[in-house]
Amino acid sequence: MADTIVDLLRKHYDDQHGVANIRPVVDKLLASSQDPFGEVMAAFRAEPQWRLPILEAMRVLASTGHCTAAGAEDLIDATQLVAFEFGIDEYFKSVNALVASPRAAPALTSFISRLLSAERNEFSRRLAFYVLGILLERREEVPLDAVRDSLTAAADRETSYQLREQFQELLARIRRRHLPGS
Amino acid sequence: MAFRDSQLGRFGELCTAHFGAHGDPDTRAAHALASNGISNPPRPTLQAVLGSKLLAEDADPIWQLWQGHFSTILDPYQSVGGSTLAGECPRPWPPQPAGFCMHELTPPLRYFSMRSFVSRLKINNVIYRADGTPGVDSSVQPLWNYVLTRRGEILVGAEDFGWIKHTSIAGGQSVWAAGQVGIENGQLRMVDLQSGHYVLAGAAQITPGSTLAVELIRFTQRVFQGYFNSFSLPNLHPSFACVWA
Repeated sequence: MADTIVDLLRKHYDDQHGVANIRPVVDKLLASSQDPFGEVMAAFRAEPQWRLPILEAMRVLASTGHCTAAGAEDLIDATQLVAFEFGIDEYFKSVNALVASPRAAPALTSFISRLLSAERNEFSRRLAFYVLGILLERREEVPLDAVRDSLTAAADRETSYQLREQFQELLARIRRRHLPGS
Repeated sequence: MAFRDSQLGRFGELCTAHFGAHGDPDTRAAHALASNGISNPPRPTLQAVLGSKLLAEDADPIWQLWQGHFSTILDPYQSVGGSTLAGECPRPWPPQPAGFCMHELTPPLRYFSMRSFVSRLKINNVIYRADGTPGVDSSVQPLWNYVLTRRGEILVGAEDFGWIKHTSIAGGQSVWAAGQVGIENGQLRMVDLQSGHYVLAGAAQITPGSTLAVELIRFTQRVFQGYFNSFSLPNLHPSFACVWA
């Protein structure tokens, strides 16, 4: 199937502007496959030179509910590979896609844990709070107890006053969720 | 002129060395481009260069009105801590020093003022996600990015070659807001704040869910609504909204 996905990407590639129109590829997969996300994931592994558009296809499928929590872990791993080459904004795109799906969003709490347990730099910490903020905004039902303590400790390590204030604001929202009657 | 804050303005600065000093970088750039400018191969006229993108606004009385209206939206935003966003490239450019951004040196292939862009709302790129919320579908091409310049102009450019980013449109200048444009049935349905260079990574330091993020969303939505209203642009969707993502 990897060949077919790449064939479709080639077919929808606009060489005048250097972009592949991915939506028709996703639509075709949705119409023909029992497991579109699994097929796209397989293509991602098989076709390194097409990783960027294939990751975008994974995001569309995730945001429209075609990705399980296990698939969400794969998407995050795939994002890590692409971000290394194309920049850290790839993480934000994947988080935004996952949070839109009640099925996939719970995987984001384990992503927060991963980011904070291997907090190599300030970006890991700030990304963890990005994920927290977007979960609080969009997926109130996702439990955050497991990451609350590590987030609290991470907020204390933040060197930017502006960000530390915002992190405290988000942590206060988690605490309010645990108050009786809330 | 609007491109004072943009890539054309940057080009104008470069033109100074070749075409002499002129007070306005946009005019310098236009002189270099236009057939009746200093350089004169077969090219469009000066007015055509500026007019084709609806950027000759200093002579436009509606632009003056919009400037006044923009201030009334901007002032309360600044009073709650809102400020311009400085660009910061989300990827390194070894061996260039930290802070270097190749994207901001690259002019966009397709770019317009929003007033000109509204006649080009041809694609449908709003996706309804699993939780029922609308979002900009970045798998649909062209992916149209916008920046809100310091003067209150909204510039739109296509993310061609995956290389033309928000800083390409703004020529690396700081902006008030930046993100992607969502179009539905010929109307502007939504905008978001997904800009790696200006909002998400680095200098902006705004976390979604924080008060500052909420204020930025509100401010951006009000600017778009005010802009469409001031210029009597017809195709703003009745449910138009700015969202974080």
